[in-house]
Amino acid sequence: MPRFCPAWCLIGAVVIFAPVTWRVLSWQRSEPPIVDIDQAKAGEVLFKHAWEPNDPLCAGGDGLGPVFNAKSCAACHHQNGAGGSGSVEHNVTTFLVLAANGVTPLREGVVHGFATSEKYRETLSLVDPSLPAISQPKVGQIVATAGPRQGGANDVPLTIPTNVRLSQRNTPALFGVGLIDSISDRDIIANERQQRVRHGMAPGDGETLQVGRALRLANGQIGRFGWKAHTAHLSDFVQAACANELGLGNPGHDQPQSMANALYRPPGADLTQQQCDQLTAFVAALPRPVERLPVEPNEKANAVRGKHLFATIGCANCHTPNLGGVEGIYSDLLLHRMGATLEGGSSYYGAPVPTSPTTPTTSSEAARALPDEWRTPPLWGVADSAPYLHDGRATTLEEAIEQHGGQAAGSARQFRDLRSFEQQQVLAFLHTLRAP
Amino acid sequence: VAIFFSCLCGQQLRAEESGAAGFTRCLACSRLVPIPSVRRANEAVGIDAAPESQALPLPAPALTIPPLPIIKVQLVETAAIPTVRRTPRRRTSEEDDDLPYALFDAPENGEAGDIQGKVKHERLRRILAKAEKEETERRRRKFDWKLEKHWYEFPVYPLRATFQVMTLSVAWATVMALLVAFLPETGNPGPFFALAFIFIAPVFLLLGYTFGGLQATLSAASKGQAGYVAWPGNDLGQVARGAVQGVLGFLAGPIVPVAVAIYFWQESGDLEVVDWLILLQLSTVAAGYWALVMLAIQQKYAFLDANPVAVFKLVQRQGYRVLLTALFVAAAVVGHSLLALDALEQLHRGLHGWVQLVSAWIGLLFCLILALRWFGVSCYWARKGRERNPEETE
Repeated sequence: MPRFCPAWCLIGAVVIFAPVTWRVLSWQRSEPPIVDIDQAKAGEVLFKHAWEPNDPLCAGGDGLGPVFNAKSCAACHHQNGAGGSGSVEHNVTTFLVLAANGVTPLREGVVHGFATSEKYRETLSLVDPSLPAISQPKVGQIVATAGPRQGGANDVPLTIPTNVRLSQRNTPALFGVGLIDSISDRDIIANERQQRVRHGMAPGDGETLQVGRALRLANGQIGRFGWKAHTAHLSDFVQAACANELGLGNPGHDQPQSMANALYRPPGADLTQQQCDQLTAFVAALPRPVERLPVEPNEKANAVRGKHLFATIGCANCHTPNLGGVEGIYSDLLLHRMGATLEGGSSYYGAPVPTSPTTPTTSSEAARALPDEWRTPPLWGVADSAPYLHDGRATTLEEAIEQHGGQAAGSARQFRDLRSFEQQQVLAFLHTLRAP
Repeated sequence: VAIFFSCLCGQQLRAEESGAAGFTRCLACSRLVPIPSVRRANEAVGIDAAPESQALPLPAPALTIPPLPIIKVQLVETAAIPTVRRTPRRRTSEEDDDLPYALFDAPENGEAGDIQGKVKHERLRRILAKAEKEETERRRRKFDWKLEKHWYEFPVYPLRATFQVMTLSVAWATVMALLVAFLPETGNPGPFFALAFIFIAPVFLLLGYTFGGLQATLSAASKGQAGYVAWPGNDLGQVARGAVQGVLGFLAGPIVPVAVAIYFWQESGDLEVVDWLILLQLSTVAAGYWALVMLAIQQKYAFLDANPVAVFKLVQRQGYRVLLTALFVAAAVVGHSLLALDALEQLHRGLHGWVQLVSAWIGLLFCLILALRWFGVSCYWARKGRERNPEETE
């Protein structure tokens, strides 16, 4: 019988078991969000507060503005209560100016809808002189919408230069975002891998296969908030929204400089870290949407059958029912390419705001979503969050499904191929996904 | 000086003196013909002494020369008579003595049949048969491969199996590419099962040829066979057995670490160094144990040997050799699997993914054949060594 040296045995055991032990101890788990009720109550006040320039709640800053998209969070997030989605009137217009080669981005940012003073007012003409001097174009002026034009005679499509990309973002509902924040990066990547394996290790940036990709931010975290999944955590998302939408500078994000007057400097941050935490606590405490089946047996059966069809035609591949222990989310939180018709600039939260219409700036983020890449929006509460798609161009769910292209084209085609009553069953299922 | 002689078929031939006492092929009928030795040629023309050029004294003519010969060796240059080259085989003097010289007799009337009738001597036939056999053997050995003895000789065998390796690699890569190409877009399980049903036969066949080929390699190597590439060929029984053996070997243990590795890979998020280490450990254990199970089955061709006890006994019996083989196989499988995974991703981008996939398969099969050849041959030499020195073993 050979004799074993104890020291070598020990070294061997350490080499074999050390990695496993390390990983077991550092295994990332999805933790349920813990919300401080008092913080959340204070945050609710801030959420509904209509901010003003030099607002008394802004101790060290200039209050609202100088450029902003709304005066309060609740002004946009208002459908079905505070924290809900918003209508197209509250859309935010983003722009992307490309170099002559049509690829390299020169400038990108937001054309804010309002300003505290005329000298700060941003218009499309500051993006490109050939565009009109308006701040809030209608979505129908930028893209072809399926429904009737909303602005009547004034809703004339804009002639947009070839090197300029204009896009709009509709206000998403915030219900259940606390749960989304609790999903671990590991779970999101697991879903990404599952989709890749299902399609023979297909890359996540393909144009046809239903394979998404997790947006890995420059700091190594996985993006999960925003239409382009550009933010990893709820606190960061809230702070970025305060800065970009309300012009409330905070410890996490500076308020945006106006394209019209880049020389203005605020005296300090508008919000304190405590106020940001309170807002985050309130948003995290918002209840999650619910799946409410009809009481009437036939309708219930239709909804149940629709849920089955929803999975069969491939919708559930991206609108994953459960993710990281969060049930009924109907999203994989991954970026998917949605086709040329749904192209729309890049992310604007976190990207540097251009200082001048002519000064090229490039994004410091290592990872960027492609123009036609969109994070799968969670479908929970979808019945109460019209309009649909990133810019609210679809007023109904049928229109939204119809406009799915790129990786989702196959499922949209299968939906079209369903018989009429089957389509209604799928829609009946979607209508069970209600706001809380 | 040229030596003139005749074949049985009547063809007159000429050989240089250096070719004397050898054999040659008749240019007319390709029959093996003995060239007369200088001594016998001289005797035929009545010269007793050996020529000056021949340094060594020739043995005295044997008294047992059969009284058959009707020797007519001509010493006349004739342009019409073709010159032949002798084979490397040269007769011994004893053989030369035994050789009846009827063979050198030119036909009297040009009819070979008559001469053939004269040459019925048993010894002649024996000598010619021996020469024929040696000549055949020599020609075979000209292209023959010696059994490997040194480590640097082992890569030659997989190189010789290039055709088989290339064929299998192209087939595997093509089947994988087709499988990926026909995967349903939406992940609907219905088409997926239909796809699996269509592909199950070619995959089984490929599995059979892959494992059958590896089995044949190991089997030939452990018997010390060289000179050809072991391959199932048309033996569908061996192909089927290979496939079953491969699948059974996988199910008999490696499936567990593989399943754990896949689960871990999928659930562990973006991989860090520690995750790579864990995956490396799991895949090494899986591939290494798979190799050991296959070797255990191969020993007695018994599927029941796909169990840990048989594997343990195999390791005990073969020692470091089998562990080294398993480790090498594991490294090859793991390394080439990573290449193949990347190739699968590239496959979605273009044809270069298929080329990369083929390359990964070529590399893997080359390494597997190399490992099994080395293991088999080294076992063979060890066995030979034990047979030569049984005391050392004890």
